[in-house]
Amino acid sequence: MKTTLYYPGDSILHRLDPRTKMVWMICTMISVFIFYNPLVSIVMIIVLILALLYAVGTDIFKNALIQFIPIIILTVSITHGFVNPAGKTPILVGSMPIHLPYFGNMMWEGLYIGVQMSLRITAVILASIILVATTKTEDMVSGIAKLGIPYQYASFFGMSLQMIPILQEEAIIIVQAQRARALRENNLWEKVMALVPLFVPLAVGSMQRAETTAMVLEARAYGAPVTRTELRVIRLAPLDYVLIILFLAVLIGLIVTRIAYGNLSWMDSVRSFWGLFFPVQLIK
Amino acid sequence: MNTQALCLNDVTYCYPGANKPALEKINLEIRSGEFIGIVGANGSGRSSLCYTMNGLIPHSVGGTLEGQVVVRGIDTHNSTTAEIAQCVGLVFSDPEAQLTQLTVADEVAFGPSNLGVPRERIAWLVDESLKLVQLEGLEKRNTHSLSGGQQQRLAIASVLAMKPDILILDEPTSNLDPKGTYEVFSIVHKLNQENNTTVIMVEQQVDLLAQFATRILAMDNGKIIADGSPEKIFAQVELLSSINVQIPQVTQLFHELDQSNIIHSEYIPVNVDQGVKVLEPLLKKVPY
Repeated sequence: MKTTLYYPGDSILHRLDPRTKMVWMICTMISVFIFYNPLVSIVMIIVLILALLYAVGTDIFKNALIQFIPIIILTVSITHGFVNPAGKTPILVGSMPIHLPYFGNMMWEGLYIGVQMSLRITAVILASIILVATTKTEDMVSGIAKLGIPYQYASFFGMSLQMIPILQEEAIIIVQAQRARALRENNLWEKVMALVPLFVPLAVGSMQRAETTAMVLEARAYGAPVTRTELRVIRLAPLDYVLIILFLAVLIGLIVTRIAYGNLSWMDSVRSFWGLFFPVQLIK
Repeated sequence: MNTQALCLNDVTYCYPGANKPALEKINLEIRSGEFIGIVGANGSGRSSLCYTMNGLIPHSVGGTLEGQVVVRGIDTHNSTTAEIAQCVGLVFSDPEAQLTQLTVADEVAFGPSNLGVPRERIAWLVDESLKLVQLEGLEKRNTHSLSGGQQQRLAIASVLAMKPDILILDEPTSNLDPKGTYEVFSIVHKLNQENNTTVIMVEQQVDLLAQFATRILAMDNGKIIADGSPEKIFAQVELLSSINVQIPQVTQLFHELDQSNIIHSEYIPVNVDQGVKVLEPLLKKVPY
């Protein structure tokens, strides 16, 4: 069972300092969220997908989180299309609006907001995946600590990642035990209801385990009043500096654009499907 | 050499929210270099006693601790567990909950790095401890990919890497097969003999305790009801069965023989070597 998101490898991305990848991630997040413009997100997404394909290969598409992205885009876009209060112009198919009882018509403006919102989320997910997929967790902990965050908090991060495989295993054991006692899972509803009795033992078990782990940490002198020895030395290489400067330059450029030209939204002129992704009407 | 390692004066402890004390009026003195086995039924206060010895009680667990616990001259009321951890190592029984790091080498290095040991020395300690528990070659492995027995030995190695004077083990062999159990006992025995490490071990494996321990404490209901050499304690067969503690098989055999008037030996042996010693002269008398 693959329990971490890390894909072992030796690409340039793997060799980058974790801090460089964190800067990349944060720059991407800020850039997509300062504009109301799907194009910015699309450009970021293309860059990130190319980087992932280079570093990890097509295996990355087997990742459950990535497979979840189309669902996110669809649900967020459609929901906003129906409910976002910015919606004014109904989408007409032929001459009929797409109508949903109680929610009303699907609107171009709402759909536009949904699309650009979900593309933002996609960019953020991909940027985080780049960081996690190409960085060993232990390097990440050192990287976070090196950013000036106290080691205690950095190691929380490593330890919570540690809990995921344990919980997964425990959940499997509990489900198997319940199946052995004739847990009913004939249809979807019963399958959903079967999650309820799973949750309680899982939560109680993990809380008990966390308590023991806390005692273990203390017994291993965690937080002793001495300066901790750092086990890993991570250093920024010349390439790291170049990339960090590049990312920051792009970010500053985008921030200046935002201040000078506004949020670059073409929400009010969207009237066609392709118009959601590219300002076709404005160019005409 | 024969200095005091640990001392409990009139210790009474109550878990938060409990109305009955988990430990009651415990007076105990442990000298350096002793190998102490603690026996008792579940819930008799064995684990609580271990936790009091390194300050987890009362600092992490809470509750009210009366009396005084002195570890190497330090009163645990006035110092944190992390400080006491420099001389007391504690191995817990749940192997998975003891894994705090992602790789085997990191797990072992965690303790010494918290103590600020220089990096070169840590590398040496990691090698040494892993060799001692026979996990060498697995340094880069993920801790969760190990088997239960390997995880338990890893937990022991990570405590050993901190070079504790006093080693407390709370049922360290609960997940091990008989061979692994024997290995743990021999590692601990070796440390006890060669480094003069004080060992305090909570165990169900009374046969092995009888073989290796120098002193046995029997606990019931939060009290120490018997304290002495394995020979003295395990000879009290009725007392131990009344508190649901197993008796070494050899002892059980000689007790039965004694009860049914077959063999009366001057003392009841507690391990196989002693049993052979008692039986040999008797067998020679038997006419073939």
